[in-house]
Order: sequence, then C-alpha cells, then structure tokens
Amino acid sequence: MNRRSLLLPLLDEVLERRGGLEPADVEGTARAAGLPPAVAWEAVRFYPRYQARGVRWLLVDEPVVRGRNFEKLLDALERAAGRAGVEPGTVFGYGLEAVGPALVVEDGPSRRVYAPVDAAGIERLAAGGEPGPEAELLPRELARGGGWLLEEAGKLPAFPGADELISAVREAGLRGLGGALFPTWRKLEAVRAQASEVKYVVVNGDESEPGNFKDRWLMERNPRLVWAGAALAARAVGAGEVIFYVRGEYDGALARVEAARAGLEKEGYFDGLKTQTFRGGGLYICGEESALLESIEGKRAEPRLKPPYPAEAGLFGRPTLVQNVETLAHIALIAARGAAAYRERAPKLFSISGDVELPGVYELPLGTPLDRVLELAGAKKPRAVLMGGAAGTFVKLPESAGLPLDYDAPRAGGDSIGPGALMVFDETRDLWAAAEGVAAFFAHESCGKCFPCSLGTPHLQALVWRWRRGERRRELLEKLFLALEQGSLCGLGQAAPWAVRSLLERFEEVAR
Amino acid sequence: MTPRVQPDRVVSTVCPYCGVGCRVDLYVKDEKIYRVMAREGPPNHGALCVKGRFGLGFLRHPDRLTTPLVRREKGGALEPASWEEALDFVAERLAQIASEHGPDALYFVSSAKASNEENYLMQKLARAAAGTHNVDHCARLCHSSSTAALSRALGSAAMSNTIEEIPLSSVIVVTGSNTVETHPVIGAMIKKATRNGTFLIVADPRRVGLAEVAHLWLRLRPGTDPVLFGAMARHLVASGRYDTGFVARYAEGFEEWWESVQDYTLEYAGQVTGVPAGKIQEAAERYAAASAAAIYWAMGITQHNHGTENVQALVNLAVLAGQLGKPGAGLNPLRGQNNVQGAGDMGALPNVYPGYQPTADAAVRRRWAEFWGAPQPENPGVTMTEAFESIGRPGGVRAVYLMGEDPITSEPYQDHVRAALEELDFLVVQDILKNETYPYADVVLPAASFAEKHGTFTNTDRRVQLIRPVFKAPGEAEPDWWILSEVGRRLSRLTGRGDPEGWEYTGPDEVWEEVRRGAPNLFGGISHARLEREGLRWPCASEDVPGVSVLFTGGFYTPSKKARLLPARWRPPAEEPSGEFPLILSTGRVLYHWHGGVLSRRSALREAYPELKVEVSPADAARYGVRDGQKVWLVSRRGRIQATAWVTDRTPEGVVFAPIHFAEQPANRLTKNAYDPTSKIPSYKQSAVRLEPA
Amino acid sequence: MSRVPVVINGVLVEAEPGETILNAARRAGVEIPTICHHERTGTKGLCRLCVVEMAGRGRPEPACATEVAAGMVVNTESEELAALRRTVLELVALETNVEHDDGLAGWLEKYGADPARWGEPLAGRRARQTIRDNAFYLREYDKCYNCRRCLDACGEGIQGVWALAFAGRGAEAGVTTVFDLTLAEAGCVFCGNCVQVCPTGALVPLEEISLAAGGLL
Repeated sequence: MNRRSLLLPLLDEVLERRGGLEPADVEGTARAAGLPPAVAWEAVRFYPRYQARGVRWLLVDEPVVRGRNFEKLLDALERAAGRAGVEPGTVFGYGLEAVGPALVVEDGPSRRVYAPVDAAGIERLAAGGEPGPEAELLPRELARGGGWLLEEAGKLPAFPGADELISAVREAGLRGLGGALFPTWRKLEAVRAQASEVKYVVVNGDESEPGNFKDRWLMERNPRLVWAGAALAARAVGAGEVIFYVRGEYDGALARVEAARAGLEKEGYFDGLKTQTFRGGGLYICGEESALLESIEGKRAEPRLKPPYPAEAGLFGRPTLVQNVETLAHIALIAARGAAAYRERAPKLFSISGDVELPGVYELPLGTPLDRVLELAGAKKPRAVLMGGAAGTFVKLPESAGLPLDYDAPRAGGDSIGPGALMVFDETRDLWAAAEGVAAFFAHESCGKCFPCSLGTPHLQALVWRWRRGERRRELLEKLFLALEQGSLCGLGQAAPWAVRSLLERFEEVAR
Repeated sequence: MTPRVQPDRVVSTVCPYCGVGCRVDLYVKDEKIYRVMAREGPPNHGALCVKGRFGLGFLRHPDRLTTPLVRREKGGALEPASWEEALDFVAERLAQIASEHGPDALYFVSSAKASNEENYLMQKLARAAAGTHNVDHCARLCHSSSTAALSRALGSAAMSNTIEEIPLSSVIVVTGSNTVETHPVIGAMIKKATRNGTFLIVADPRRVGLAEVAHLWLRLRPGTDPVLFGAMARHLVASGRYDTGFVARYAEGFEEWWESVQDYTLEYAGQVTGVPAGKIQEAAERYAAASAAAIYWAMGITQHNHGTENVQALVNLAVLAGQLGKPGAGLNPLRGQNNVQGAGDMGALPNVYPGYQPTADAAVRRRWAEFWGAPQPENPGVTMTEAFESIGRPGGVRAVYLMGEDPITSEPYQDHVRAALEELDFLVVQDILKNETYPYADVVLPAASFAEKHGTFTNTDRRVQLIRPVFKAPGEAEPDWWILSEVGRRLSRLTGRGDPEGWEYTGPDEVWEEVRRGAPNLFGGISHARLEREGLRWPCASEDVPGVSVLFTGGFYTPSKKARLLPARWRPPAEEPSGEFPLILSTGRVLYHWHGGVLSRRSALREAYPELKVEVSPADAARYGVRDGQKVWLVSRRGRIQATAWVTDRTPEGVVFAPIHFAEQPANRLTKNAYDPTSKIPSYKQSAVRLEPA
Repeated sequence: MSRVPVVINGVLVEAEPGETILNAARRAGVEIPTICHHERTGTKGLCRLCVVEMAGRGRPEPACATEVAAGMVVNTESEELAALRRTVLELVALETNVEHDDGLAGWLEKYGADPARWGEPLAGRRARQTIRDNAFYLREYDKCYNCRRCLDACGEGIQGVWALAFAGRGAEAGVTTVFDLTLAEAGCVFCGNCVQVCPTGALVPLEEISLAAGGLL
C-alpha cells in the first residue's frame, strides 16, 4: 500500500491558499491523509500555526535575553502594541540567541523576524517602521573560525557500503548530536537489522532547544552535507525514503533544505531514494524523536512510550532511523574523510551566545576545555554558562573552567554538552531571571500527555517566579524536581528541573 | 469509577435488546436503575451500545401493564380482573375453541424477548396441552430463511463462529447488515479488526456504517444477492481457486449446483447487480485466499421473497471456498432479538421440538409424547405468517395467544393484520407494555420484564447466560413462565392432554432441568448452577465439558455429515417498482430504536431519535422535489404514511429506506405481504412505493 | 507457555508471558496506584502513578506499560516512589475536582497527600464548564484528569467513532469533540463506553445526576 499523504503539509497548503482553516478543510485533509477527522482536529488544536490569530508582535523569549533586559523589552512592547492595537506576546526559540534580542511580527500564518531589536526599535515598529534588521537567515559571519562542517560541501561522498559506513561511524566514535549523545553506529545497526521491507530515515532538524542554532546554521548554509549524510545512512540501513523534518519556525532553513534537496535530486544523487522536506510542527516537543514521528503521521506531537524504539517501530510503525542534522553531517564527513582523520580532528559544533564578544557557531575539537572556548569567544568575567540549552545546567565559573567539553567528562558532575549550546552570563546578569525563562519555557512547551510534566511544569514556573520575588519554597521545589525528573514520560519533563536545580545547588548566593 | 449515588445493589444480568447478549451490571437505588455498566469478558468485553446503556427507561414507564384485564363480553371493554379469573378465562376459551374447531384453530406466538424457559413452556403449551404444532415466534420475520437454508445445508442454523473469533478472520464479509447500528458491539469489534488488518468486504445497497471503513464495498442492486454470491462462487470454481479438498471431503450436490450457476459469470453478475465485475472478482479471490474468512449477515439477506436462496448462495460460497470449520471461518447470521437464538433452540417453531428435533419424525414425536405424557399431533404446524394469513378463512386460525409480540407493527401490510385481528374469536396479549395490538385483546396478561425475573437468554453466538431479577415487577405483573405454567395446568386439565401436575414448577431452574432432559445433546451439560459462574455455549452435552465454540470442525450436522450445495437462483421481487410506484422501499432499524419501538420509544432513546426519517437519495430527492428535512408522504398500494425526508447518499438511487419503529408512522402499513415460499419470511426489503411532498 | 519468574517487592512471582508488571503485581496481591490505565483502553503511561523501580534501570518505569521479563527485580514502593506519587497526586487533586473519585481519595490518604501546600491551582481545570448536550450523559470537565481513557474508548480502543478529541497543550489541554461540536454533531453514537471507562466521575449518566439531585433535574 502506498504511504498516505501527510497531514501537516496538506493543512499547510490549505492554510497558505485560504489564510485559515475551516472544519470542512480539516475534514478533507484528514480523509486525504487517511486519518479520522478527530485526529486532524487534534493536530489543528495542538500546533500553534493552525490557530489563526491575526497580527501579533512577539518578543522572542530565551535565557540570554531573560538574563538581560527581557522584562523591560516586554514592557516596551506591551505599551507600543497597546497604542498600535496589536496583540503583544512572547514566543520561544528561533535560534537567534547569538544575535538577539529578537522580535517576531506575525500576521496569520506568515511572519517576519527581526534581530537585534531594542526599545527604540520597538518604538519604530509602533510608528510603522522596521524594528531592526531582518533575521530570516543567520548572518554568515556567525560561523567562527571555519572548519569541516562550516565549509560548504563540495563533492559529496559516494556510498562506501553498509558494513564499511557503519564500522567507520563506529570507529569514529560519533554520537547523537541532538543532545542525547547515543552512539550513532548502534542506531544504524539496529535499523539495519530489522527485516521490514519499508524503512525510513528521518532527519531531525527540529532544533528547538534554546541556545542552540548550529543545526539551523547547517540547514541554512550547508544542507547538501546533511542530505548527503541522510542518503548514506538510508543506504546503510536499507531505507527507501528520507524525510527531513525542519523546525516549523525556520523559514529560511526550510527553503534552503528544500532547494538543496531539489538540486541533489536533479543531480541524481539520491538515485531512487525518495526524499521529502517537511515543515515541522513548531514546538519544542517535536524534537523528541518519537513525538517528531507522531507529528509526521499527522498526530499531536507527543512522545511515545518506549519500547518499542523507532528503530523497531518508528514512522507508521516501520523501522526508522531518526538522526539529528549535525550527526548526519558528521556521517557524510566520516564517509568523505575516513574515520581516522575524523577521529583525529573530532569536530563538534558549539552554539555560543550571551556575554561574549564573538557569539556564533564554532567548530571545535571535542574535549576543548571550557575556559579555552570562552577565551576564543571573548568572554569577559563569565560567571556562569548555561550548557546544553534549556534542558541543561548552569556551570559555575571559574570553578569549572577546566571542564573538557566532550561527550563524557561533563557527565561526572551531572552536566552534559547536550547539543553543544553555551549561553554565557557575566557577573552582572540575573541568573534567576534566566532560570525563570527556562521554567516558563518548559511550562509552555509541555505537550500535555503525562501528568507530572503537564501539571508540574506550571508549578515549577510559579515557584521560580515566587522565589525571585522573595517567597522561597525549597522543599516544594525539591518535590517537583523529583516528580518531574523521575516521573515524566520523556526528556522534556525529565530535564525541566535541571537548570533551576543546578542554580540552587551551585550558586549559594542566589540560593540564599 | 465512583458512582455519584451509592447503589442499594448492583445486579449482574444480560441486556434485553439485541442478540449480542451483552452482560451488564445494573446499579439500583430506590428501585430505579441509574447506571448501566458493561461487564468484562464474553460476549461484550466491557462495551455496550446506547440502547443497553441508556435505553432501560421502559421498565418504569407508565405504560407498563400492571393488572390482568378481561373483555368479559364481545364488544365490551377490557376490565381489570383477578389472575384467577383471567387465567381460567384464557384456558376455558382456548379449550372451547380447540374442541369446537380442532387444536389447529389455536395459534401460539412465543417470544424471542422471553427466556429460554418461557419459550420452552410456550411450545409445551401448544404441543402438550393444546395438541398442536402451531407455535412460532418472531424469527419467522427475521431469520427464518437463514434457519431454513442453514438447517437444510449444514444441519445447524446458528452462527458457526463466536464473537471472540472476529479478530481471527483475515477477511470478513458483511452483507445485508447495518452492524454498527443493529449489533453495535459486534459492529465496533469488526471495525476494530479492520483497523488491525482484517480485510473487510461489505456487500450492501446502502452505505451502512461498515461500508465507510470497508476495503471493498459492493453496492449491489437490492435483491440481487444470489447473483452476486453465485458469481463469486462460480468464479472460484471456474478459475480453479476453490478448495477442492474441502469440497471432495465435505460437500455434496456439486454437479447440480455447478449446472445452476452456468450463466452467473462475472460479467453477467456485473450487469445484474450493478457492481463492477472486477470488484466481484477481487472479493471472491480475497475471500477464498484468506487464511480464515467469515461471512456475517442479517435482514438484508433474509427478508426477501428469495431469502432462503440468498442464504443458500452464501452457504455455497463458504463451502466451495472451504471457509468453514476452523477458527474465524464460518457463516454467521447475526441474530436480532436478545433470545431469538434461544426461542428457536427451545422449539418455539412449528417444525421442531426443543433442540431442533423435527416434528415430522414419528420417533421424535413418540419420544416427546412419552416425555410429556401427552399425545403428540401428527399435523404439521403452520408458520406465524401463514397463520395470520389464514385468519377468517375456512380451517384457519381462530384464536391467537401472543406473548411479547405486537403483530400490528411487526407484520407486513398493517391494515390487513388489523382486519385479521378483528376476525379472531379470541386473542390473548401477554406483554410488559401496552402495544398496538393490545386494544384487540380479549385477555391481557401483565408480564414481568427481563429485570424482574430469573431465567436464561441465548445470544447470537449460542451463549446461554443467566438473567437475574433487579426488582419486583410492577403491580400484579408476573413472569411469563409463571403465567404459562398456570395456563398450561388449566388447559391440560380441560383438554385432558398430559398431566396437569407436569405444569408445576418451583421456578425457571426447574423448567430448565426439563429442557436439559428433553434435549440432552445440546443442553445436557448446561445447568443454572454452572451458569452462575459463566455463560456456556451449546452444544454442551455434559457438565464436564465446555461448550463448543467453532461449529463444523469435524464435518457437518446433516445425516451424511456433508454440506449440501444447492442451486440458489435469483427471483424478481414480488412487487417490482413501476409507473405509479417507482421506488423500492426497504425497511429496517436504526441505532436508537428497537423493532416496533415499544421499548426504546419509552426511554431516553426517544429524545435522540424522535420520529420517522426516511432516507432518500439525492437523485430521487431532486426528481420528486423533496428537500432534506421536509415532510413527505410515502405511498404504496396498501397505504400511506408521513415521514421526514433525510436526503443522503446512504441509500442508492431508486431505493428509499424507512425504519420500522414508529407506531404512528408504521412502515408496515406500506409493506407487501409477500413471502419466501420456503421460510415464509415476508419480503420487507422490497415493496414498491412513491414519494410525495406533504 | 512457560511462566516468567520476576521478583516483586522481594517476592518471587510467576508472571504470564507478555503481561505487564501491573497485572503481575495485581495477581500477586500488590496494588500499584494508577489512573490512566484501563483494561479496555490503550491508555497507559500517562499518569505515571504506577511507575516502579526496576533493578538496572536508571529511572522508574510505568508498571502498566512494561512487560515482565525473566529475572526482573521490581520494587513498587520506596520512599522516592512515594514522594513522586504524592506530588503527582497532590497536583491532580489541587487542579481537578476529585470529589467523586473514591479511588483517588484512597491513594491521597495512603501517600499522605496535602494538595493545599501548592497554593492556588494553575491549570484552569476547575473552571471548565459542564456540558449537557444530549439526552444520556453529562460531561463535567472540572473533574477530568486528562487520562484519555474516554478518547481511546471512543476511537482506537473500542468504538472506532472518534467523536472525542484532545485539544491544547500542557496544563491547558483537555477533552473536546471533533471540531468542538456537540456530541451528536460530532458523530457520537452514545455507546457510553466513555462513561464506562471514566475513572473520575466527569462523565456521568443523567439518570445518576438526577437521582443524586433527588430527582430534581
């Protein structure tokens, strides 16, 4: 049986054509996608872009701006929007931490993104002008220092054979760079071992972890390398189709990924492999691999219970390799340059933002000590680094200056490089404000499936808010930490307390 | 779950509506049922439908009959009477008419809503106390053609599979059944199986609920079923896809059958049925190739003037494909009433004693004569439809005893039925509620409902289940078994047939013990005590074995142990649409109502579906100037009724569909009293009508 | 098939192959709290009350969704599990009207839950409107935990109708109907299988409501 049409692209098509969604449209798309209308309705009521809301001005909410002047900007925005008769609000993410603060002007399903903006820019917006430079794409100069991943791919590697590729990936020591750091060869092997005639490769380009923008960079500036890695992986595991899931808000990345796909298709690179670019649902949870699969299937992006893992029963119940954008780029590099050369160089992308002179995407050897990285980026008097992202931890400086940024060393202290975000805060910043942003983020992004996360994250947000205003309920926070971390169904809820907890445990002065 | 109201008690019993026989827990407070919960395990596995869940309001409806009524003189009024008087009156009148006109002037209509024990007693009343085989029940109107064909061809007329086997069928064929509305719990199970990979073929002129999820929907022209299924079978043989081993071992009559389908090519079937030949071919091949394929059907197959042929065509197909005798493979008539299986099992039929022992067999008659100590009549009984047709004719029926039957709404050609009832010398109506027939009665006997008595029901997959009283019957109403035993004792004394003391029972369990002794092969192993623990399927010959699930695993129940292939030819309907009456009227049920509406329309279900809606295709609506929601007249040669038009593509062009539940808008005022010659089932699915805007 | 030996709370239990820890524990007389799990629905792993500790696993896993495996060592009670359950129960009871769920009341008591310590409810559930749009049952969504049993009963699990749908995200999420229509418009067949599986008393027959109100409704 042919795979059915996918719901979200069908909904997007109607949305684009008609500017909104009527029940009859939803019913029609549901039938075309082979889903009960109720399932399509659930999707419409889940993904933000299907809820038409007219013109809105949205301040991008992320930990760096939270640590700085978020409240003032928001105040300015609310006043200006009030005068203009426009709905103000906030929105998470966009991968613009390195160039923020950022502002999104949303008009129904379309939007424009500006960064950096300040209070004056907001005034200009209210007066009918532009609030700042447009930021559809990350500026090219954010790539710092060049490197294998940051150089645009030239000739793409040929497929060396499944055994060869997988053993090279194994030898290279590559791990999943979406943040989980799971050995990549094992996933490849697991999917390859499945007997199914139909298998999928899904590229996880739903980079929604605050502080991370290296996947965005790759998708915008080097998408051919990612497609190459995906195609190699597909051949290695025996998949006939690759679906590239691009974060819903990354309009520029989406266009470039699709352009690269079309180009490679034309060049014959895919050689019979089916490929599709997929606009993601536009929520953090879509990056959780099983939730991502649900969203491709047209359902609410909610994490599945595991087992079964996607390698056994993934997209439409078929064995599926889900890999992060950067991981696949690395696979292409390994195929092109060999495992030994790769291992020697051990390249890794880091997204560096905050109080540094040169924020941007850095390709650095794994294991580079934290202080060396901060020095390269031009950090002055760094006090803390929020490492990994919102699902990360505050690392204290100078105490942790020598921490090697590799896969395993940070874990000893309960930290992780995650996808490679480093949000730097100097001693003038309000770390509690940043933590408050993180807590707000999780409360907003909880999908609503499991009880601890859907009920616990709003209370985490409230407790952090109250703490910052003097009402300190450590015992309740500790209870929530436990319930969230040990009780939540997926990584979102499990990681929700980490940043707040690390702040409480490591920064006595703020914990007092 | 914590109910909002603490129950005084929770009673586990069986839903009174359809043949699925769902087990329910009834929550009772202050003698009121306020919550109905499904029980886990067979047959319903935790599920219910709207009728069982929310449709029990009739139990406490003011229309309940609460006291015996007697019409003391012809033309007088029905007046309250004591049980003594009413029972004596019934017995005396029956005995008097039998002595004047012979026992065959009496007719006994049993009830598929009554318990097994009560059905047993009703046929015992006819055979032992009155001395006639004139007993029947409403299966005459629903599955008598299934019974006729299946008994003849396979030796047993029940479902060959169980509900639990639904997920085991890799192909399911549903034909002439709007399962999701008429057997909703089974319908949902078939839908679920379909979601889990079962290939579903629906053959139905109407876009019934299952057609929406079917992989193949064969929208055949009404009544062309034997051609469709004949062509499928012919194709299997012609293309070498039939199960030669199975046929060689288990079938007889192949040559004669093969001769009879020579013209039923796929192309011919395509022309006759309107289904593309390719689809017929695919259906046939998928059905035959399935690891296990089951056919389910209901009134869309049976209620035709060639209903027996329709069922035989299904039998032929299943036998040729070898889709019988293994789990998930079989022939499954979905039985309508909660105890219609049991009513037949208990011998509430003119041609068989309990356990399907044929009355035509002198040895069988001798056995029962001994068993009851009452001479057994040699005259064959007549069917209920024949009995009603005979009223007023020489040698016809003169007295009718109705238990839980409302012929004015259920028989075809209502005006004709009314006239016949007027002509009766004597009519007994024994029921729980006032119905349409009740004003014609000479005696009205108020009965207890399912929730007010003990006994057993047998569901569509042959599962015998205990029912238990929830509360006391209202007023002086008494259980049917008690009433029948009281009448039986009196009649036996008056006719001198049998031993009046043979009518003394302490309760339904004692009646059941008599059933076990009378039909040990089917029921010998089933006791009320065993049923306290679990429902049991017949056949179950001894207490140390479970009941049989899959029928025909070791051959068929015919004398030769083989299945009989028989010619099954299409016949034109008794009334072809033409000229003044250009549309085919098909009648049936909807989700929210039950048959004549006596029960469902006296409950909350009434609000969900208050009045008659007739389904009209968009093309016919345009042709006859009818808008959706508009009042229309449906007119046949026999009468007219008003309805609200529902313009929908559920019904095909040229066919209107009217549900039968509305006494004020009785579809059976329109239907023709034409019958299948073998089973005497009325041809409810094809009457000629016209549509007029009202 | 052979039995699967597992150790539950230090006791060797012979489990059936393929059964869940929850069922194996129940048969061994060990009660594990759960809200979302129901024998007839596919809902599992949502409420997280049934999470248990398993040797060799970093995080507790839901007993309702984890199949037994030979040699498994399971603990269904510990200080940490109790604390976790207490917090989840407190939040459920804080955010939801639980007055008609005796089962939950029992668990609240067992784990010494004190919902009031969390202050004011935040999810807005208690303000959800009661919906009466049919002749058979009422939907009092202030009592709904979002366990989704009703959704599964309506769709995949039993009925295959999909009249009900789940809307929104996070704490704001809740049950609605397809296109937010009335139940009848949404294609509901009023089987009441949602009422059957509802653990909270949010879905309740009108007859019961009427009786509870002394027949005044």
